[in-house]
Amino acid sequence: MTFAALNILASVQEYAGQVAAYQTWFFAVILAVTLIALATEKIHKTILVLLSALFCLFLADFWGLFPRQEGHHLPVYIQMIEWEVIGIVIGATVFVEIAARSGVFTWISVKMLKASGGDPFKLLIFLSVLTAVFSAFLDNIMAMIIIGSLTVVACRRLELDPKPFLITEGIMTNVGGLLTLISSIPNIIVGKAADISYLKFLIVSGPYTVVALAVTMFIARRLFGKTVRPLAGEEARTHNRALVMAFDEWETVNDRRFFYTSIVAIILVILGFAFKAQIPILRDFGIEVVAMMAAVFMMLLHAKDVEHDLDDVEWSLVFFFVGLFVIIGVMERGGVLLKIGTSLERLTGSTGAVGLMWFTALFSSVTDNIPLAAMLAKIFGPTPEAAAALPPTQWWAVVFGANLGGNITPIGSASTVVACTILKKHGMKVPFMQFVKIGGVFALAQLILASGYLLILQAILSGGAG
Amino acid sequence: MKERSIDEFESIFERASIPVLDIEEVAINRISAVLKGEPLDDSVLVLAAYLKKRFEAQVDLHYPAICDGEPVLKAARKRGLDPQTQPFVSTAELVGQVSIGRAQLVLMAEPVEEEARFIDIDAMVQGTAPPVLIIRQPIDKPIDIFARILHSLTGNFQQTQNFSYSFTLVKDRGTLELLHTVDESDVEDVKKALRMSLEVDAYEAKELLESLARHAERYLKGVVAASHKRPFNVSYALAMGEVVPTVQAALAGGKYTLLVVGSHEEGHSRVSTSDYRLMHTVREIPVLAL
Repeated sequence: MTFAALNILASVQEYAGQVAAYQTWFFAVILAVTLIALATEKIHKTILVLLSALFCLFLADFWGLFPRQEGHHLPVYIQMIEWEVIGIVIGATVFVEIAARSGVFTWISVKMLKASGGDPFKLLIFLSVLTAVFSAFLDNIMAMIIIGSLTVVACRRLELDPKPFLITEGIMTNVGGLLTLISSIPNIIVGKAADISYLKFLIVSGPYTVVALAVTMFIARRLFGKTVRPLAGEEARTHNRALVMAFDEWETVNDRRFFYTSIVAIILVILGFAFKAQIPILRDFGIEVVAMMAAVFMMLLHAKDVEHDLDDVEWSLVFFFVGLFVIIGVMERGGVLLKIGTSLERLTGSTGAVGLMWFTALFSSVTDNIPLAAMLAKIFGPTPEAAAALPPTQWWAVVFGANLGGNITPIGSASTVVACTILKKHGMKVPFMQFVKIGGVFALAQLILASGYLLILQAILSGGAG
Repeated sequence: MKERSIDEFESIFERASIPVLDIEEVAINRISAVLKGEPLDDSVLVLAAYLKKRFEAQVDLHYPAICDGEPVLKAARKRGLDPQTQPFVSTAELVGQVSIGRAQLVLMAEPVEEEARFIDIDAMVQGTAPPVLIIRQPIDKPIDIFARILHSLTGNFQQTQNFSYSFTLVKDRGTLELLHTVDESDVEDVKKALRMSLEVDAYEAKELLESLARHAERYLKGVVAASHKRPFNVSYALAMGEVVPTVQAALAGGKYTLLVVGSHEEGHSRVSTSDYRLMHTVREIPVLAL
């Protein structure tokens, strides 16, 4: 397979002729240093990316990579920023924060805990599947924080070791993060670049997600054996059932009216995302507008605390994106993306989408998957025409690789970081290699499964659009 | 921010984890039936016979020494009882006779005379250690008394609530409803309990009442959780306002068969002022004063 888009990328490199080889290499070094520094997490990632972006801008201007008429005013790099992605992040964050405050998700979590009857295996299945579902409709971090917090409280009550539960939940979050277009940032970036609708994303990723959830549960049962074994004996079952029945889901809800209106709002917003193309008013707007509308709708429901709600927007993430898109924009003009694309083609060309997925997964396991997804999106889809010309499975390879790669190491994804943070908070450290031994098994199985799924998709979708 | 969110959600779930109260049922082994020549004395015997059978308890008959004991004993035997008899010469002596200890229940009919009604009931409720069940209507089917119990609770901060008798007496597949009324006088109790000397303004008093209601609700949920797996239903309701009208309103719409008031801990009866008012106001159903 060849990356058809690379030709198009080369053809649209209007500045390519102006870039000297040493300049491209210099930019490549800056990018590599930035990515390594991001992986080490010694400096806050937003500060790091913004500093790197400023340096790239000065350098690009110094070498005359910007057209003279643009100068070095804001509009030069404002074009590089994917405002749609930022719109989705801001809208979704506000929506999720306010929805979480209504108590809907904590209420459902406690209900699931009670439904498990305190049986360790049922508890593992129920909470892990719920984490996956929440991460599909919320963001991964929020899903992990909610379920992770309940897990430690419930395990304390039931005198269970929370480690197997939290690790499985962290891993399930990344599987659930595959389900919808807005489940994870790489999905948003790729979905936007490849012009994949919410519904189409759900239809393609849904079957894989369901099978991967079942496989993950099976592995968890085998891997954690004793701790998650179903309870034997009526006495033990009665005892544990009584312990979990003492949880009251309504204690997590402060305002029942807000709770009920939030349920309606969440359903409406999900339907809005899913059927945007079919709804006359929404049809003409981008998905970022739907996300912002959802945020405004929730603010209206929770009007008494708008200031507090807006404080919860992840402004550091927004500025991280601003810096990241500027870096990628400069790298595009500096010819670095073309070089990466060519190298990538050499590296994975013979293995096709499957090879690309494994490369993306391995890269995502040691560094932030967002810059990788943003870079690959720019390499494969610099223009809508180029994006449309690309085999659809290539986009899916990036999606699967970026999401599942996070399961290999404890630093590979935000949700596994949260899981380890919760465990550490309660005096249970998970050493890096211990996590790799566990997470690696899950990730290996999920990636093998995804490889097969990509081949099936390739057969089905060949010739069609993603 | 992440750490803060984890702490926030952990505390939310900790709050949702209600401490289940350990409520033990009372093995009632002694029934003290007080017969003072009231029209409802026969109902006292009917109820005593039922409770004797249900709890396999010993029944003692207490009657005024000036009366002839033989007709009393005859009436008891007619109801299937073969009781110990204990004549008394004064209310003080009666109180002494029935204040043996725990696992005991005193049954008495409400006096017809207005003055005796207050004096006798108050003396018994205040003086005796065991709870007193006051009968106010003729009883045909004694089991029906325990079909739908309304247990009235006040917000008194210093009162230790006792649910053991209600849990023991409610019949299988019966209903026990807990009605907790938080009223303004509770604020004074809280102030006393917390040794607060400062005056509280209207806003602070409202906040205090709301916090009392929240505290009570959590407590009541612990009681409901304790009823899990028991053969009867327990539910609760919270109300703000004065105790007597609130309970009367509940009784008017609820087809209740027994009202439980006060608290009873370690052989000491603690009936608050509002409970006394309630005890004398509610006339249509029996009242168990703990």
